[in-house]
Amino acid sequence: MNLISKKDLLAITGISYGQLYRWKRERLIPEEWFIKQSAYTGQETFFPREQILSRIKSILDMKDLYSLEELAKILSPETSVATISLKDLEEVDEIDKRILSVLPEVFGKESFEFFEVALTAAISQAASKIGLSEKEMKELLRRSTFGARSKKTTNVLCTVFYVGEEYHAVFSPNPAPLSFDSSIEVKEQLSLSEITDTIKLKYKSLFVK
Amino acid sequence: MQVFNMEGFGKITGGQYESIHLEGVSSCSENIKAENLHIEGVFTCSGEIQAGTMLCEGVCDFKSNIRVKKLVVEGVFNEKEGTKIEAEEIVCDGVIKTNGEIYADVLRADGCISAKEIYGDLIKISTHYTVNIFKKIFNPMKSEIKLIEATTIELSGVTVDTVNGRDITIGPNCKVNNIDCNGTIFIDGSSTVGNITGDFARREYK
Repeated sequence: MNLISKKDLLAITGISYGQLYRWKRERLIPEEWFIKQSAYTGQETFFPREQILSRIKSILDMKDLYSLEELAKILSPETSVATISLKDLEEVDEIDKRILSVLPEVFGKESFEFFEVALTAAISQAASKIGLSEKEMKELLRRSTFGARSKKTTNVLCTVFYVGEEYHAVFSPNPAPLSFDSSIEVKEQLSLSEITDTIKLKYKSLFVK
Repeated sequence: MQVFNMEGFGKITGGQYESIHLEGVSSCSENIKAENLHIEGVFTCSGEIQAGTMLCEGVCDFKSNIRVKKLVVEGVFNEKEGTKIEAEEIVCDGVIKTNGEIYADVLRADGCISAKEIYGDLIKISTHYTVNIFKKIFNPMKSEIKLIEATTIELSGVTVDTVNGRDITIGPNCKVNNIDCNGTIFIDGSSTVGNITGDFARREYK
């Protein structure tokens, strides 16, 4: 599990305790990202490294443009628009255009919930990083929807692994990555919440109500 | 939105209000949202409170989360269930007693605070210590906190297990087990401090 201590986080980002806790209070940083663990000095707080650094960067980049309340609205999963059309998704660079054609068949509809868009973006990103063919990418998306739907939240970690000459995905609570046996090759791990932050900030007009 | 005033004994229904003014003895078992909440008597609430300004001049007992813009405590504010108190600003001339966490941008207390953890930007607690044994027997309240973590911390007459901050002032009659400071620190000669860690510089009292 790639964690960063609170002390290191403040040192690296240059933010103060006051800023950290104000952003927590304003729901810009999810409560579940504050992970308390025993350390030799007593209880210490840690954070999922990639997610918290990405979130703080987003907040620092945007805090002079938006109020904290507006930022919380943008970054919160609860304020996403109800559905997004296939046509609107064509504008989203983070989604591989080749995958758009199968979305109606995979999700059984013509417009999609934000969670489904996040999943599609995650699979697109994984496919690009791993070097999947168009066919492999589409198959991975088809296989992923069942597991992802049971979570119905973007606060999950998507682990793509290779077994039996096929690519599969499993979804676990963020920030708890899974451990597999040696016969399974983990190819990529993606945080859906990080992906949704990026998409919502970049395409506010599409995704934020 | 409603304006609700109550004197005597009664129960308040949960919901959204413009302002609530409670005198006497009252209770609520539901969530309340109000622009202004003013308590002068005894108030017990098991629901969550969301308010713009909350003024506690009486005795308040809460069992759920409190989320306000400004909290002013001149009476006794009790939270027993280990939940959260969140505010932009907290001013305490009375007593705040909680088993949970307090989050405030600014907390200024001239009264007494007993809490598990306090987090914020500026935390200033000055509890008046007395050597008068008569007063100590009849007014045994003292500020005791397990953890204070903030950018700027100023304490006097407070017992704390751990203090983490950037600029820390440990004034007279404090007892602190552990300090982690990454800025400047002042420790009064009458206070007892255990371990100090961090990258800090000692300074004069300001």
